[in-house]
Amino acid sequence: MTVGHGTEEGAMVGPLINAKQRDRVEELVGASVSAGAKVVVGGKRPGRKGYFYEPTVVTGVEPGMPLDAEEVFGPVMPVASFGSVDEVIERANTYEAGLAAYVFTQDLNTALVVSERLEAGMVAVNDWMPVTAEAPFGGVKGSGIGRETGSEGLAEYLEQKSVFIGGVQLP
Amino acid sequence: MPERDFGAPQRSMLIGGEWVQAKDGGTWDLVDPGSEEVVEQVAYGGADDVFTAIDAAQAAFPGWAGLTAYQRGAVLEEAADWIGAHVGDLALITTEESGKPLGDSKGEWLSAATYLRWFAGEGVRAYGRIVPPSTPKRRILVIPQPSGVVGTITAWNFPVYNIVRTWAAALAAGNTVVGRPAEYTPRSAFLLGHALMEAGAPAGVINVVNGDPAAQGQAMLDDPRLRKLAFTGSSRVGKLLMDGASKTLTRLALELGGNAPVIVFPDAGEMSRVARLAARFKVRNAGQVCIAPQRFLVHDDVV
Repeated sequence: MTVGHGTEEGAMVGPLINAKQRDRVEELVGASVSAGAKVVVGGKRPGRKGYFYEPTVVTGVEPGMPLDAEEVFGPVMPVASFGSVDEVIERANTYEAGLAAYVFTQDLNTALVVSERLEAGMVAVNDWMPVTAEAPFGGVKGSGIGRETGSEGLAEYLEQKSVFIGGVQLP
Repeated sequence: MPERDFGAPQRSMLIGGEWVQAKDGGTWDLVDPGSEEVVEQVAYGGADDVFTAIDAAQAAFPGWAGLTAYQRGAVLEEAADWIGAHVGDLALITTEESGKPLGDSKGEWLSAATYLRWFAGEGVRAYGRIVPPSTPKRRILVIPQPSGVVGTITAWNFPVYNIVRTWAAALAAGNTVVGRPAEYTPRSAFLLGHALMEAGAPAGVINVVNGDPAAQGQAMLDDPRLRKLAFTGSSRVGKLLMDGASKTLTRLALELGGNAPVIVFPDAGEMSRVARLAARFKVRNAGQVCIAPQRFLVHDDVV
């Protein structure tokens, strides 16, 4: 998992866009650690020029902790555990965000029922990239309004006009 | 650092078919986030540039909407061809301003070509309806028509994709466009505009501005000729735009923040593979992706 400038051979993890974004990621990690979470990998800047932050794994992340409640926008993986389907669906649907959700299972029933109950505009089952020209993309709840791409995406940029023609009769 | 400099189309606004400086002459120091160095100055203006761009987009609208969807599609296809022919140079420009690995920038530009081609094909299928009337001697048609001038305000994390997914649809449908990219990654947008111009888009059909975000966003909302605004960015700004849109009832498309749960059941299959892919997709674009896998929720039996 090489951290490096985008033009460096083999670089996989580039920088964050600017200092402010990196500061934010650091704050979210720091605040969560103060609340009891644990950094097991990374959690710091590599010593080089550029707005880099190391790939980081944090365990013991509880609902309400900053790394859980906020969209991190950084190379940080907060990990938590669950026991039952009902419990994980409730936890997954907790926040106002509702853009994408991911489910990993080989069971058909689990895949169908969980994907139906998740509050998200896109659900990826055994898949990591729910983005393609032919499918609609967008969010529910606080993640947005409308859909881009897919046939739905074209319809968003058209207005439907109803044209009524009266008095049509045979001569 | 890029091997080839595209000239004015790399650092200027595109308004009415011309590559121009900001009305007030303003510029922005573009920084490479991977080195913290300033790489060049790009045009950076304000509300006036938006109004001029809307003038051009409005003037170009009847002609563009009056073409057949096939004629519009041909322009999109040719822009896709142009991108394919220049993808190496385009990728360097995008990597330099966004920080993302070169392979990702190249993939993003190639996907932009895919979106242009897909919407060229979809635009010719914007079918209307004939509805059986309940009243005698009447006919009812439902005809889809483009709205007019469509605006885009987009984020820096996918400086090509965020833009092209809207531009391709809006243009295929017959709208004209005024786009404002993120000030951190404007060159990718300027060059996407350049691709469309090289493909024969008439002057004013595609316009790209850059400048003060609040002033330019407000200008887009205030001008009633800009009928729909597509925004990709933070939920905070999305809410501000929604407030502002009420002034002229500007239609809004909002692509805001996410916080994707990743639910891993014990029967997920080969766990080491799931973990390996999880890490790879987590660090994609250094985690700066609205659909990034975020909250990893792993069943007790797996942990």
